[in-house]
Amino acid sequence: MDTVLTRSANKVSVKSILELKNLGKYFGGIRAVDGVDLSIREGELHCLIGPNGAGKSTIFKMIMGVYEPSVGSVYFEGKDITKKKNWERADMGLSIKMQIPGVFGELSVYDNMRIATQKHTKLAKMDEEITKLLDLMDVRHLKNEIVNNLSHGQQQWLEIAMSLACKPRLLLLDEPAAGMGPEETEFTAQLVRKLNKEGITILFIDHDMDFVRQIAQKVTVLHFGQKFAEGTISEIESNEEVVQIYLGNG
Amino acid sequence: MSIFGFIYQYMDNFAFLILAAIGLAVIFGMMGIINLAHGEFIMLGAYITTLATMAGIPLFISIALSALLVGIYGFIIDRLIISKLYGRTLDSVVATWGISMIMAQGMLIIFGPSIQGVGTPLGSLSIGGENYSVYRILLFVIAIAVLGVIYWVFMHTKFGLQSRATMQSQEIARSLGVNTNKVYSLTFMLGAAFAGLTGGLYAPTMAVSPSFGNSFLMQSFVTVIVGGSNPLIGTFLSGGVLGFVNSALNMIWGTFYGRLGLLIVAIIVIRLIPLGFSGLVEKKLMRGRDA
Repeated sequence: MDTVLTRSANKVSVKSILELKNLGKYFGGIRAVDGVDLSIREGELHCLIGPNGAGKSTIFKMIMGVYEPSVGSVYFEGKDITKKKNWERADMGLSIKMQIPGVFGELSVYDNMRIATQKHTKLAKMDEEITKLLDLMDVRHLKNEIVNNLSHGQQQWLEIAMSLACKPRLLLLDEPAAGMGPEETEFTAQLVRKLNKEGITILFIDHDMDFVRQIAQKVTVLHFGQKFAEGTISEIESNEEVVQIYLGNG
Repeated sequence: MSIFGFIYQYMDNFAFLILAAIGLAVIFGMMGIINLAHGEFIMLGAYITTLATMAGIPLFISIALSALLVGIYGFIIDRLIISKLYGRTLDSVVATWGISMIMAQGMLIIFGPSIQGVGTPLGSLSIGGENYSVYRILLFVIAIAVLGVIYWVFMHTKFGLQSRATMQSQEIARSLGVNTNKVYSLTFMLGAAFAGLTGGLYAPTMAVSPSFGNSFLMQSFVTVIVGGSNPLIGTFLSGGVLGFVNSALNMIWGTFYGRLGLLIVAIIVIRLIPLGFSGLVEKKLMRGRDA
């Protein structure tokens, strides 16, 4: 089976890979996400922005099945996955890099990669696949290191490598460059672009508008749990209401 | 008592502590569930071995059958009850306590207060005028083998890796496609199978009754508490130290002081190293890596 990195260069398709229909999540009386409709096309590099508490991470958690939606549905590749367990979604080709690095801190880099790789790669090819992904993230030299000893940036890259090991068709990145210095952020931006070019649809959340400007093809703005605006980065940046609620204070 | 007598006593105590605790340690360490029915799982294993042997099945096959059947029983209990209580430690304590009472009373109703036992096999070995049971020496070898099997399962199999990952973070493991409920069920099954094995192994050495598991309960809990959450490192170190304390006190002042010594060591360890021996080792390893 081809790795995710050997697919042909992508084109944004007209076909939706992910569709959220009237998606909502209520915590008591608080509507963290309130009737969001969103369509992500195959091959797209799409960003969710919005002030803190706008519901971005909650939407990610509903897409991955960590939270059950209070209302609405999640469709992946045309199938309703709202009731699917989160490991079933991972098996279907949905993968996530969480906001706080989702890595196993007490295990080695290699063991972390083995956990991510084992369901998607034959045993004989596993070492080759792990080495390839660690090379891509520039962390191969840390293969036997315990993950808690890695820098924050290295842990973020390891988590992206783990997500890729699941051979995703849709990759969710929750603040992939959070806490990184300028060089690390630049490396991450290049990496995200490269993965997208190689065929992976990417939906990401970020607060750093320079980072968003560098890579996003399409941006959706969330505000108080609702979709506020959607368009290209230039359309969003020229939208006065968006500037007022978000970009102006950013 | 001769030196060999002390070594024999130590091997016997070590084996007893390891085999009594290992099922409990696997379930507690990997799932965070305190299985108060552990003693009854051991008792069930003893009944299966005894009844199977009396039905004409060779002893060692009966013991293996105990491990298998108690493992399957554990899987069913997990699916019906324990799986509803993952992450709810106190609720699982109450539930397993209920299971233990039902099992013990159920055995009493079905088989009465005791059943005919099977004799200890393999005879004895005479060294320096003292006789030593070959079967009890074999139990020591089996205890070491069980630790080896656990090491292999958790360090070298796909299930072991998934299990260690699930223990650290259920959420991350799930997002990588690991069916954590399946991992928990198999872990509970494995812990129950080890309890069944222990019951089977000790069935020829003790009277088999519905309270059979009680003889293992105190030692198993003390071993797990002193060992900490890592079932392999914790049980091994705890069995080693407690086995020595028990043997030494037993040799000097007798059985009562041997047992008392176990409790005193448990109190000291809880006071000084609350995470147990395995917590201490893991802390040292982390410091060593940071240095």
